[in-house]
Amino acid sequence: MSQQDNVKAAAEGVANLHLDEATGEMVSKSELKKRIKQRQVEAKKAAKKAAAQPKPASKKKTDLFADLDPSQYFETRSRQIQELRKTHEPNPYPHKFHVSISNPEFLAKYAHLKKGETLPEEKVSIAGRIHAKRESGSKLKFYVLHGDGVEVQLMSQLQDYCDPDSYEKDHDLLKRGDIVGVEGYVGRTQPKKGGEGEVSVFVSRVQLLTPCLHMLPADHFGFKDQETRYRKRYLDLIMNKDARNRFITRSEIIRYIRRFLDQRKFIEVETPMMNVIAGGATAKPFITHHNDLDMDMYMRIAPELFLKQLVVGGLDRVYEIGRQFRNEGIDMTHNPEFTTCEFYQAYADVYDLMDMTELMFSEMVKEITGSYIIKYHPDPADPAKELELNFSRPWKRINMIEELEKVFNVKFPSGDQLHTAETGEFLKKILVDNKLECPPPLTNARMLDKLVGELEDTCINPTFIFGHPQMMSPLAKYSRDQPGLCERFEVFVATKEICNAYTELNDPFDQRARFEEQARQKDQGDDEAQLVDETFCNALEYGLPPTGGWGCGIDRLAMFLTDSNTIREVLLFPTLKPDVLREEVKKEEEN
Amino acid sequence: LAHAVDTSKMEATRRNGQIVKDLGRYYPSMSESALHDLCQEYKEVTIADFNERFLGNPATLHHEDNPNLLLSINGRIKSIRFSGQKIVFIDLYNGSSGLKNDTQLQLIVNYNKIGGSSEDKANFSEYMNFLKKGDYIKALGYPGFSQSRVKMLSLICNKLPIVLSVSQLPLPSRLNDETKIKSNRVVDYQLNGTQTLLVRARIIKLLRKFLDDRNFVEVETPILSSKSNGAMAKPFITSSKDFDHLELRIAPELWLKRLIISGLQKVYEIGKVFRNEGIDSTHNAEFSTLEFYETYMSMDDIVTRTEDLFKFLITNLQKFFQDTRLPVPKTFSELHLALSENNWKFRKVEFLPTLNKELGIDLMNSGLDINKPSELLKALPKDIAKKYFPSADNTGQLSSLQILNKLSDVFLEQRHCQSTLPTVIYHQPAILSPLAKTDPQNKQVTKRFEVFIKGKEYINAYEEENCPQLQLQKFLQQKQINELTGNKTETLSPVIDYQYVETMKYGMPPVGGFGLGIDRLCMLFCDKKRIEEVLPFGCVDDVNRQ
Repeated sequence: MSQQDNVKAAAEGVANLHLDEATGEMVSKSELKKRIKQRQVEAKKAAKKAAAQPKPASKKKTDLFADLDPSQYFETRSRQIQELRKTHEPNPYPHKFHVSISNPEFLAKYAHLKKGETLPEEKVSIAGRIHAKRESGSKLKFYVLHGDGVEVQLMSQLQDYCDPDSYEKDHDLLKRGDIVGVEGYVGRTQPKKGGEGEVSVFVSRVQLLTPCLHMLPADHFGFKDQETRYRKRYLDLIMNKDARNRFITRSEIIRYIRRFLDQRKFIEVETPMMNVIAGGATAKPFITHHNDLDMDMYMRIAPELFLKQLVVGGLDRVYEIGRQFRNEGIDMTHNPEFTTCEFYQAYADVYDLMDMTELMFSEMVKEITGSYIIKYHPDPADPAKELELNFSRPWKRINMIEELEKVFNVKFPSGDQLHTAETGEFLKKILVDNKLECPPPLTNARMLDKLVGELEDTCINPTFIFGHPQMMSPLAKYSRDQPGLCERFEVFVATKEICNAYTELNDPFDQRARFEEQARQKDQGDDEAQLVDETFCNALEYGLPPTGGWGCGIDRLAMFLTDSNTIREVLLFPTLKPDVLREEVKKEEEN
Repeated sequence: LAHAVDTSKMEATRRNGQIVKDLGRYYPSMSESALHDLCQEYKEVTIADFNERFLGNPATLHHEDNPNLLLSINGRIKSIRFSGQKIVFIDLYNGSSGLKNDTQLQLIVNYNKIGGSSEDKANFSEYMNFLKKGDYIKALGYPGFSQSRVKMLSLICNKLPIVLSVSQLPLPSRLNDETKIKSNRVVDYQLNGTQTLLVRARIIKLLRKFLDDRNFVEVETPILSSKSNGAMAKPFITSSKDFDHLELRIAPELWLKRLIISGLQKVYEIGKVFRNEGIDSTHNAEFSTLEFYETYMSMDDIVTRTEDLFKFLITNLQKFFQDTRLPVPKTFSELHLALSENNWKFRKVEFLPTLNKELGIDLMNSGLDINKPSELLKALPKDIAKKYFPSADNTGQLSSLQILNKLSDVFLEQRHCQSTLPTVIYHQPAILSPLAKTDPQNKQVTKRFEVFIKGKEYINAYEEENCPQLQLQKFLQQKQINELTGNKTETLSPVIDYQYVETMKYGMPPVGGFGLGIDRLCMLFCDKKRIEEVLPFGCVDDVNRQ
């Protein structure tokens, strides 16, 4: 009985939806009524207008779609396509179209043609999206087709068309945004008003492959609103070449890094993204829940501890390019999920890694952008501000404590005293004297981090900062020469950190002590401190060779190489709040 | 045996006590100036370099020691044995212990050839006895040969080996207990080698090369979003300061198809997906997939692309096994043989016609609507219906989706897909394939195929539905099935992705889509039966134990 009730309720739920025959959508009864009424009102207006000013019949052909607003366009277009879906004259959604040559290849192959030269025997078939359409009389039509990142011009003349009788009808059907396939021969146009002409397809047949039901933004005004570009990335990529090029560059960066490391015999691996403990960095984790195991899981904030276990396991050189997740605020340079590359190399120290870093980045920038120097605009509010980033080697190397002493004109306690309470007071005084604020808790590590922020602001060209105090780096190995410091460096470009590396701590006793110190800081209120990872300490006890570890933020690199000042520009689909308007529409449709 | 173990532990305890007293000595930095001074005269090479130079070309040394060529080599002690009190033999190895001679080298530490201070000499015995299997050392010496009858190529040390790091926990001599292996991968890799990791890395590298060479663009799409869709599975749920509800993706499909709409002609992603389901021998909470999408492709085109991909993978992996001298897994050889004998073509099995033949019925009868459970059950032979769908009288409890899935499992997959030669099952019913395009010749089926090898599914691919109205209808149909069967049918998420449908209206070209389970492929190529064997740290259960 209850099952039958469910069936009945579900059936009624489905029955509550009604077919809007004009657009093909299933909508609620009230929505359907609203739409019908709107159409009646529009019909009345049209009738009234026609009656008010009857015009003599004009020879000029009327365009059914001219002067419509976007929603009217969508409705009219949907009605048109719905009719075609029934009649298949032609089928608006065919299954396949044979492409004989890609658009870039087409342009390259026939670039040599001279103005007015045509090759009637050279048949091609290509496909793409219509971005522009214009007519020159009733027997000549031009289209600009976008596909694979390039533009191809189509020229359709009545005399060339396979079926002159359907010429007008076939072309009337096509709108901006439609995806079409065309067959024809190759030539370069001969514009009467001058110019070199365009390599074009002289069309013998055109076929609609997929109609675009929405009105595309006008080319003249463009499609630049930032929020909309993120929410409708597909429109962004359709309309803006810049956007497309950014993601191609991002792809090239990752490919370059892989090749660089593969050539040096590194093994790429994938380590777990879910764990019962979040470790390997200082950050807040995302928590989720595994149903079967009935336990909470943490999304990884860094792959470091697993990668080092693999070095213990016998892989001397290992790397991973993958996603990390940090439950922190969203701003211009942070997204909840982001991509990093980390590698670990046995028997390498920070100086080896510095050399490798310089080489990798300088040659990457050269290969991808064509120069060691790139122009960067860091401030969206001040487009005139431009930085010149020079990646050529060698890069400047700054000793952290020495530089801080210069900048703040003070004498720091020795390295082995940096963790003491006295040093804490010393640091507080510097902050006060220089009117710098550090949010609580005021641990020595955090205050030092604040001070170093001042150094970072002076690093425009790639710069190494090294000589970090041990307490700032629980996973880095101590410096033999200077007690209290560790062997670590960071690379800053345009005041942002792009790379972090250190000689890894491989002493299990020292590691455990440092984890416990971090746990103590957690009790002190530092949410970002790490817990003791017993599994990792146990692995170290089997022996980790002297190892250099290295990490880099791919998204940030992509920002520099594509001259983008917010991380969302280099993420195809940045994390966004659900669109409220869309939610309301959905709710309405479901009722 | 107990006595031996006890002795080993006692010895380790004493040794560790010594280590704790002077940590700096046993865990030196590679930057130490003392280390640099010691090594200044020595050229650093890897074990592989050494073996390639001298082992491959014995004439280089004229079968004699060469004391003038000073070399420095880093590595790990694999075994250490004493010949009397003044000569010590050490087998040194590095990283990929699964490989053979390239990565192993014998050291000979002879008291009489050790230079350095008199203190070094005096402490020779004590020093050498300290070294244990698993320690990392830097060896300093010159190439030469052992004086035994065999004349083995070795590094003759002229200085005491330098300790770089120590192993404080004794390694067991063997590790074969599966439970222990799962709980401690680090030890497993040290003892049994990392072959699987190397093969897996190579497979993924080859997949990328195949696609990159064909101008596909690799992308990364979101793992976190407010809703997940694109497959039939339950998502993991989390939240953040800025978002009350976030889900981990179960498939990247809809994001990738948005990029096709955006103008990328060919696109792919290799990445993790997360499904909140049971764990068994072939399923893990997180696993890796490859998905690619290519415009203007028909189903037959995708099948051809898939066949080419397998040929590329297998021929290149064969070279990899030869170059590295890794043992060739049995299942890999069998697959290689089966495909090359069949000219690299897959077997083809059509869904409904084959089912008709097996059942002796006609499911393609134009009068029969296979989307209706009652009609479907009525068309089945009575014994089949009774055996597999005993509660058929209560039709409200079964959906045609469930019925067709069961029939497919029993009569297609179990009977036609057990061969080593990959089998393509194609033209799946439309109701099973809400994201696939309908066959123009038969509206009840789709242009979709799956690839099975020895009964397991490896690939799922189809011409993607690119009509927004039809896609919405299919989403709604899935939702209806879900509700009618009380959420017991595995369908797409009941939350319909209206935003995706809206996106399609900007125009989506005809596009072929392809999905492959990478972990499963690794299992096949490495002859492993359980998924944790091809994951660096095993299943989520194992991850939590380490």
